[in-house]
Amino acid sequence: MPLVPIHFKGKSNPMTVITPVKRGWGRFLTKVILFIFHHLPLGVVKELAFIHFARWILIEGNKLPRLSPDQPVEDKWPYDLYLFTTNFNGPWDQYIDAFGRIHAVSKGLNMLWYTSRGFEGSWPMRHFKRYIHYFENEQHLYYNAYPGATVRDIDASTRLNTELEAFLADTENEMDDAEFGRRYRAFVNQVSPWLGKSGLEPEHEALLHRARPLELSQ
Amino acid sequence: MSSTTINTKDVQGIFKGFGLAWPKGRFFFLRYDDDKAGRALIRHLMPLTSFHDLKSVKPNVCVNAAFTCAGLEGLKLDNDLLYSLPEDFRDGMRRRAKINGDAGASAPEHWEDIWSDHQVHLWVGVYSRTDTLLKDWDKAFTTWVAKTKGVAIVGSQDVSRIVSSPDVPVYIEDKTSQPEKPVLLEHFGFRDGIGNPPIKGLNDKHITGGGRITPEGEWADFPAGEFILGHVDTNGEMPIAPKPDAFARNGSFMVLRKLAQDVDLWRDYLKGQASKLNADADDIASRMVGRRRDGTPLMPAHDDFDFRYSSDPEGRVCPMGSHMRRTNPRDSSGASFGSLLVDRHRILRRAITYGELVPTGKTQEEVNGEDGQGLMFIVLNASISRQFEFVQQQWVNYGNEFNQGNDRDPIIGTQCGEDQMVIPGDNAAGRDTMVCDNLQQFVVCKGGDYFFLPSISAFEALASDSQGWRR
Repeated sequence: MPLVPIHFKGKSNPMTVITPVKRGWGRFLTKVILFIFHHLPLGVVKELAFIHFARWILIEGNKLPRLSPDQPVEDKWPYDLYLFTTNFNGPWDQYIDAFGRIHAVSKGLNMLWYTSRGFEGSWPMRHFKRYIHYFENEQHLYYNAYPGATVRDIDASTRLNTELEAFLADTENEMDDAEFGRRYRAFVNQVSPWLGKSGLEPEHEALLHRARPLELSQ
Repeated sequence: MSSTTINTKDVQGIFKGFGLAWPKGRFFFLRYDDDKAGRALIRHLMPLTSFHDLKSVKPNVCVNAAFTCAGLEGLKLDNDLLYSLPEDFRDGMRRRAKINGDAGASAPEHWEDIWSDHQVHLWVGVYSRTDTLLKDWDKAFTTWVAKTKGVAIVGSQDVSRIVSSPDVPVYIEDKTSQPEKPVLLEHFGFRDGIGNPPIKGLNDKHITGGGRITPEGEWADFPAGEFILGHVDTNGEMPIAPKPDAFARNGSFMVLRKLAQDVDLWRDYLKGQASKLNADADDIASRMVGRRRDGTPLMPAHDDFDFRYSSDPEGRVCPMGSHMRRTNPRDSSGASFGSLLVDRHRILRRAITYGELVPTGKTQEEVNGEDGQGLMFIVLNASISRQFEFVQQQWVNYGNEFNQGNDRDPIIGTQCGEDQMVIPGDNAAGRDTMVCDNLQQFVVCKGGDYFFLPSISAFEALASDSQGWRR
């Protein structure tokens, strides 16, 4: 099969998964879970450093927007829509793998999708991938203000900027060349881990084509 | 039979590796005009050398074989079987060039001719104890091919092991960087073949250092399913494999790439950088690689295998962008994760060099002429896209996971003209930052393909006229 380039420019990818949650107790429990997660420190997600953001929202099924007051309210379908939306760097497969393989994350996800119908848990991996893929919605439009930057790029640039400002302040006054050289080298050494090139490179084809995970292509 | 017991009589010898006991080899790339000729060829090659043979019989000449997708199609196998082959394998390496970063000098249009038009159906790897034994085998085989209708050798490649020796200097400027003890080398003068994963039930060498790191911080071996089909993998699942099970079981997918190494360019480049940075060329080289020439890791280590990266999150000791750290990042993502995020992307490397070692002071032209020198890079993995292609795309030709932005692997990455590698300095250690700019294309892919390496029994079943999954 010929490789089709992905249709979004840039280093990050969107993913939207909408799962059904039963109204009534399901809705109540989901709101409790979301409330708890809202107040939990989620250090692991930050440590992973490839997730721009991840968000779970409950949309009540009978409160969906209508085009006009004449349009009937959707209240025959006994489900709410549970929306998971995220932006991430790297391949889909790797993202979901990290979800399932890291125990702390996996436990959290089991809780977050607990009320979603048909959810069997984030392990075994293959079931989880199929579940996510089944409820995943295709993205037709995606806006990315900084297509050339990943979470790590942004993080590195922010650190670099802080150090740079400190260096500029430090060397504002007149000093001899040797002293400036010493301070300059110390500054460069300090920031050297964050000097990788970022931005979009037109010839950087590695990002344009992604292999479909075997679980989904077979 | 439980899935942890592997019948080593059914697994091809290349899983164990032929190492220095069979240092001379020749690869044949063959095609067959129809299924009848294909089966005659398979029957002629039977029985292949198994993993078990390498430990017990220890034959003088070992023979292993693997099919391309065109090769399996040419055998007129059942459609269900053919369509159960994974997409990456069916595409072949040429079509996946954009994923693998095979562009510029490595682009498929510059590959050797044999890799066009699906000419190669079967890879036959012959590994011998001596040159004479290899020549005898070669003569008998080419004679047989010449008189067999419908079978042709479209290409061949001589390969051999190279070992370091004090008589053949491989350092650039610093004599002391020459390995003291004899070690297996590749052409840039670094120790080769020490980063392979130990596989449960097959190979329990170097579990400490070679294996995976659990979140508790323990070293562990790899479940066989990461590399051999029909066994459980690190996710506790059977890897997705072609059907039926008897066809796939104990087989694997093999990636073969001919990687030409430009030794002159490599040495000149490093000399240039060394004079620009007022540094030691051999030191820069080993920081690009991530190990010293004799295999000693840059990280503090118990031995050449047992070390971790999590104590060095900024890459000040071993640069994040170095070749070793990119291709096996161990616990670089943080001690609390162990190697959880790495385990699904490990590969079993069974490469062998071609060409003679180029001693310092000589040009590669003088030593190897037009044929050049390099590596026949061979990877065994359960999933080409999840393992080999992932490493190639995300770790080698991109730097995000290592906080290196777009920077690529300095040794094997596809360079786009103005690429750099930053070797971070360390104020505490009094060592300055080195930026190696204008990285050159030291390694060029000359071709290759994706192969299916069947088990010994599946290979024999394919030869049968009466059975063997035929259409």
